Amino acid sequence: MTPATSAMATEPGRTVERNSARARWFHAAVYLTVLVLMGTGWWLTLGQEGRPSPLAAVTGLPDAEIHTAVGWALTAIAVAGPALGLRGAKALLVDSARFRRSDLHWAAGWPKAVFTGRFARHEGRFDPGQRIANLVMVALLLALIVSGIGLWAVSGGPAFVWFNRIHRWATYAITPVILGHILIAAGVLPGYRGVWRAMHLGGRLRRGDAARVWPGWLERTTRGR
Amino acid sequence: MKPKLLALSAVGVLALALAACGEDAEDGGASGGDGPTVAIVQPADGDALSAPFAFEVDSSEDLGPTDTGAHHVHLYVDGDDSVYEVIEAGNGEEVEISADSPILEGLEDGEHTLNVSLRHADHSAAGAEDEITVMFGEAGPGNADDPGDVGDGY
Repeated sequence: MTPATSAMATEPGRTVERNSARARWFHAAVYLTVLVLMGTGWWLTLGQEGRPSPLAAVTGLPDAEIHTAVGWALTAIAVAGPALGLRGAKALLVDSARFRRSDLHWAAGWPKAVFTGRFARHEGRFDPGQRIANLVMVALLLALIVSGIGLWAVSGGPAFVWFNRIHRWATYAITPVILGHILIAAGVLPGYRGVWRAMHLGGRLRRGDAARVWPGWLERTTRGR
Repeated sequence: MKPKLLALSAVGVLALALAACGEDAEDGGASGGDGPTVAIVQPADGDALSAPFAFEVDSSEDLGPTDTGAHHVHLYVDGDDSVYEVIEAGNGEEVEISADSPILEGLEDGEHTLNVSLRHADHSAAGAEDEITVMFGEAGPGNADDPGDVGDGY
């Protein structure tokens, strides 16, 4: 980062804080555990069990054990996060579940806007696609956590078969959603350039990026400043 | 739900996690008594082997793929249970351990221990283990004394 861009990234007048430090740490804890779980889970699903993945080779632990241990870590994060940040968790769900008729206009122009950056206006804290992704990810992560605890609790037998099916199908469903989320959040697509700053480092992104992706939220956030 | 109640729930989950860590230690004892059993049927203790070789276990439990909820067996070498072959059949049915099995990768010729551990469908230890000593090497006859060696067709 050059001195000029560094100054721009931290200059309050040209940037706006999108997420608090607590929200960013929670998000980081979730995605780090989920990435390990996806990696080890798919390794096992693709028939590599018994052959150590790069992570298993480094740690000296079997992938199945890593998957179970990190699954418990995600469970603890999923319980402790909302417990310590109840207001934030409630806001995430409420803001994600609120849709307006005008969101249809946004959705119709989205495929093109991903490349041009000319998104239709929406009023949400999250854009309509992000809201759907939020709800789907929360529901599927809960399904994975509950079925994972079920797999551990019963160890085997008929109930295991059902927990295994839920766990497997939830994995199939959440994988493309998470990959899509990473693609968008990484800012690789022109329309979403710069949005990665919302969840990393200081959680501040350029006002121009915020106005392009979350115009209604930016106006409410900066009103009177 | 009140924040304090949620925090208590988090502690409860952590306690469960700790209990999970302790489970293997409790379950992982030697075979015997009224618990489940597993034993290596072939190869025999002291056999000379080369890949592929036939392998068979006998267990008190039905064995099968993990997605059926049945038990299975982890086969590993020299006590290193981080690299293993999953054995989903036994009790009269033999399986072939092929040359590309992870347990044979980088294995030097010479004397080695073959370990088996009976596992629940979720891969946690079911509390039964067995081991034999075998000799691996290019010149090894496999279990050629076994007419049912599944490697014969190769």
